[in-house]
Amino acid sequence: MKRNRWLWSCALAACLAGTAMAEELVVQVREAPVYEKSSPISKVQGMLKFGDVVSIKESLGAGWKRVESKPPSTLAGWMRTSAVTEAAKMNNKNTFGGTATATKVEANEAGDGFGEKEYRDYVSTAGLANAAATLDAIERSATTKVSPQQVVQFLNAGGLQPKEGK
Amino acid sequence: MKKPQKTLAAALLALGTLIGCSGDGKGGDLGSNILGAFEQVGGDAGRLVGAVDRTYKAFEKASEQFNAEDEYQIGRAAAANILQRYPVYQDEAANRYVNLIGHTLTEFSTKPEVFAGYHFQILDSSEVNAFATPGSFIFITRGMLRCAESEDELAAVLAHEIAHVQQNHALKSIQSGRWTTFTKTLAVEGAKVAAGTDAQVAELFSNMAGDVGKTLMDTGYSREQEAEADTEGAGIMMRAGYDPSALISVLQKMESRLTPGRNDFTSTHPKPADRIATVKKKIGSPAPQPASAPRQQRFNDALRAARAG
Repeated sequence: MKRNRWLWSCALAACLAGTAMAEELVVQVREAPVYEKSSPISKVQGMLKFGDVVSIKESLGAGWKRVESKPPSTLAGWMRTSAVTEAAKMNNKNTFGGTATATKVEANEAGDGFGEKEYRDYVSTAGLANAAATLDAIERSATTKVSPQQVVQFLNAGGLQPKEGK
Repeated sequence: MKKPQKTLAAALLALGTLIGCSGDGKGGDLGSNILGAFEQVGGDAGRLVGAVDRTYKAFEKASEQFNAEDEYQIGRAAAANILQRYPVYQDEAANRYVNLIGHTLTEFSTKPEVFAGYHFQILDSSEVNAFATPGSFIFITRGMLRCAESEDELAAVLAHEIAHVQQNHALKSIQSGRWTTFTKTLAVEGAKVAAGTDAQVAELFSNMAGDVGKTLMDTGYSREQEAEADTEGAGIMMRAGYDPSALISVLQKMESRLTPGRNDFTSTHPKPADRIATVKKKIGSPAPQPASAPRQQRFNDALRAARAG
């Protein structure tokens, strides 16, 4: 009986430790879709933003992670691995304020990296201001933004049948 | 070679092969780097340990110190350099169509999410060329559009460029000494010890962007990287549902449109005939799929003006 109690205690402690040590990653891109399934053509549950923190529940190969977002976001589903990284790898002078105040301390311990300032200084000193303005226009342009839903429509209209997922 | 060294060498080779086959872009590079290091030291296990260590450290710096935002800012600077040399082609419908194909393909790459998303843009140039910056702006000239006669062939060109991004080829063209400086002045450990001054950071940024720009527009990638981009690009096409044989047919058309001595993709890429031979070795000779009427229709509608002239 005592032995059973000891075993149950160990199991409970292991569970609690596992919960406490669940891997947390940070969204490292401006916005990233959270899919219902681990497929780019499955339904998009919602979008997470740069700096949002997610708890990793499961990894599928190198490409997908099942996540739950931390408050204030409340999304659960699948994300691409390339959308998230460790908090320690985020630049501490990035120009994109995320919603993840929980990781600010960790982010401040990370390096500076390159940001908007370096880019702007470079294009002005290299005489690339006009080219940079064109590039900004391309980036802002609504015509270059393609949502995951539009990708699915494009695949269907062209009779394309992806080999991955459904 | 002594027995313990043989065992160690065998273990490292096995590790290299294993990582190389992992299907993970980073692992693939690491695996081939380890195998490459073994070849470089002529199979000497003692020297191999040192070579592997150096290779691993260089790889770690190159791939892990840079985050998505660093990559984006460097790629953006390289893109500005490209636009300094080539004007953009102002045709909203054509650019929209190229973006739809491009974004569809990126979804089936191993790097679908980048810091500010992918952007595809047609350049108003008759040169036969295409460029992909880290982070990621992808450019294709009207001259290259004229080589492609179907959506699948255009997808083959874009998939090749996406594969360069996916495999971090442009970042690997940055001189190794710059990574050391980056680590010391800007990256995680360095920042805690000695933050770089603005002037140092600006110089480093300029040098790194310069390395990437030079590779993209002047020197080109290595033959191995081009072969890898072709193979990975074919994989992206297949996963998205496109016909991989279109890669071979578009390369044949590129070959026929080459103008000797001209500043186009021949100055930065291996000859199309060589690429075709390499692609066939890697993926075989896939039978062409029947032409798709809806895809051909939308290709003709969107790019009629862009391909004219």
